[in-house]
Amino acid sequence: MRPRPDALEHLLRTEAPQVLGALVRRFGRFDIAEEAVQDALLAASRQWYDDGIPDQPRSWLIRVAYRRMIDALRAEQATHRREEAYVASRPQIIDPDTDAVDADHDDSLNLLLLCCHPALSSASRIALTLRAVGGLTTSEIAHAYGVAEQTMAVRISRAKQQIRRSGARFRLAPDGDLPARVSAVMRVLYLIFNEGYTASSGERLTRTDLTAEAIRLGRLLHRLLPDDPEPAGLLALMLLTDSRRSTRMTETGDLVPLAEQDRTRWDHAMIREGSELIRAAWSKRAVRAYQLQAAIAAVHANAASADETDWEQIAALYLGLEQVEPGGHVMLARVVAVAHAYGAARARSLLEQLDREHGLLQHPLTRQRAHAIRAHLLEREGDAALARADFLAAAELTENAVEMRYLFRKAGHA
Amino acid sequence: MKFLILSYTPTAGWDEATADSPSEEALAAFAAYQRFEAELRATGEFVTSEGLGHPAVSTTVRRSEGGVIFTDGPFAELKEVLASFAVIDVSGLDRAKDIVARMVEVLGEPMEIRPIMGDDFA
Repeated sequence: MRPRPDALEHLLRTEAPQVLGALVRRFGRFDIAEEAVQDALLAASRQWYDDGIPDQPRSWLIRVAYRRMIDALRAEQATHRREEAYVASRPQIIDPDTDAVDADHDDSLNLLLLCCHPALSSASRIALTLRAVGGLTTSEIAHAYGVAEQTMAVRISRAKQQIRRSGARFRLAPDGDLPARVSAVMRVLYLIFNEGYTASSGERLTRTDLTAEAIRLGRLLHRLLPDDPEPAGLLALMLLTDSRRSTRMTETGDLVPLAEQDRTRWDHAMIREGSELIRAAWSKRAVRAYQLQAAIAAVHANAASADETDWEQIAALYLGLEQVEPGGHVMLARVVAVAHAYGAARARSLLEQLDREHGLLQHPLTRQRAHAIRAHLLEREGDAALARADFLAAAELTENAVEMRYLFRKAGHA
Repeated sequence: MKFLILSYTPTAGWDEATADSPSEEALAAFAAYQRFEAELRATGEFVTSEGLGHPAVSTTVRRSEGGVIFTDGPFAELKEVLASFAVIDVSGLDRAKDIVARMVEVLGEPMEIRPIMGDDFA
C-alpha cells in the first residue's frame, strides 16, 4: 500500500536524527554519516512511496545509510589514509557508569548539541541543525533562506569539516558545559522560528515551513529536557507567537498591528498549549529570558480584546526581561508596553532617556524600530509633523516590503 | 579449553554479503548455521559469537611521539578480512576442528582456529 506523502515525510523526518545518532555513536565520523543518512532518506522516500513502508523502517534506514557510509569511507581511505591521521592529545577515560546512563539518552540531544557547536558560526549552526536534526534537504534549506542551493551546500559542508577539525565529540564530556550548550541550541531554534515568522527580506511575511520546523524541534528539545523550564519557555513562546500568524496580514499582504488583529481567528489550541507550558515552567526555577517572553506572549494571547490587555503586567515583565537580557529590542518593547499602560507621554520620555543612554535611534539594530515607535507615540500625542518624519525614517530603514508599505501609508496619513 | 574462531571473507565480496536481499542460498546456510549453534549451546561448548562491521569503519590506534594517534580504517589493508568471530569452549583442538569443519561446510568461507591461552600457559 502506498503511504500518504505527508505521513511518509513525517516518518522520515522523525527517524532522521535517530538513524544519524545510531551511526555516529557506533562509527564516529559525523560528517560522512550525515551525508549517508541524507542518501538513505532520499532512497527511502522513493522506494517506500512505491513499495510501502517496511516493517522496521529505522533498521532499513540504518542498514542503507551504513552501506553508503562504508562506500564513502573506503573511497576516502583509498585516497588519503595517511593524511587523515589525527592525534588524541588527551585520550578520554570513559567512566563505565556514566556511559551506561548515557546509552539511554536520546541521541537527538547529542546531535543538537553537536550541530550548535561553539566552533561554528550562527548561520552554519542553523543550516546544520535543519539538515542533520530536522532532516531537511540542502535544497529545502536553501529555498527557505532564499540563497542558492550551491551556497547552502558549501555552508553545510564547511560546517561539518569545522566540526571534524575541532575534534568535537558526539557525546558531551561529563564536565562539558551543558547549560551553555543548550542555550546555544535554543538560540538557533528561535532564530529559525523568527526567520520563518518574519522574513528578513522579500514579499512573504511568514514562511510557515521554518516556523513549523522550529516548533517541531522545540518540542523535541522540551521532550529531551523536560525538567529544564527554559526549553519549555521557548516552546511556549513559539506557540503563543505562532497562534497569531493567520491574522498578521491582510489579504492584500499588509501588516495588521496586534491591537487590530481578529482575536477570534487566533489559534486557540496553540494558545492553550503555550499558556499551560509557561504556567508549568514558571513555578520551577529561576526565570530566564524565554520564559519571560512566553509569559508576555501569554498575557497578550489570553486577553479577550486589545483593550483588556494587562499592559502594566507586560511592562513589568519587560523590565524583568531587560534585567536578564539587556538589549535594545527589549528596551523598545518596554517603551511600547509603558505607552499602553501609562500613556504616550511617559513612554516617549522613557524612549528619549533610553536613547540618551544606549543610542537606540542610531544603532543599526534598533534605529528602524525606534523611529517607528516614536512615530506612533508622536501621532498619539498629536504631533503630526514630527510623527510623519519618524514614519518616513522608519519606512526607509526597513527591508521588509510589507512593513515598508504600512509605514509609508502611515506617513501619508499622519 | 577455549578457542577463538575467526571467519574471513574477501573484501571485494563484503558488499554483496551485507546486501539488503540475501539469496535463498545464503538464508538457508545461515539457518543451518543457527541450528548448529543451538546444538553447541546445548552441549555448553558455545561461548559467544558476533559479526563485525566493515573494516572501513574500524579505527586504528597507535602510540607516537606526539601522543596517541587515531587512524580511520583497519590496521592492515588485506584482500581477505575478518568478518565475524566465535569463542568455543571444548575438550581440545580435535573437537574444535570437528566443529569448525561443520561451520565451514555450511557457510563456505575460510576460518581460523586460534587457541586462547588459558591459565596453564600463564
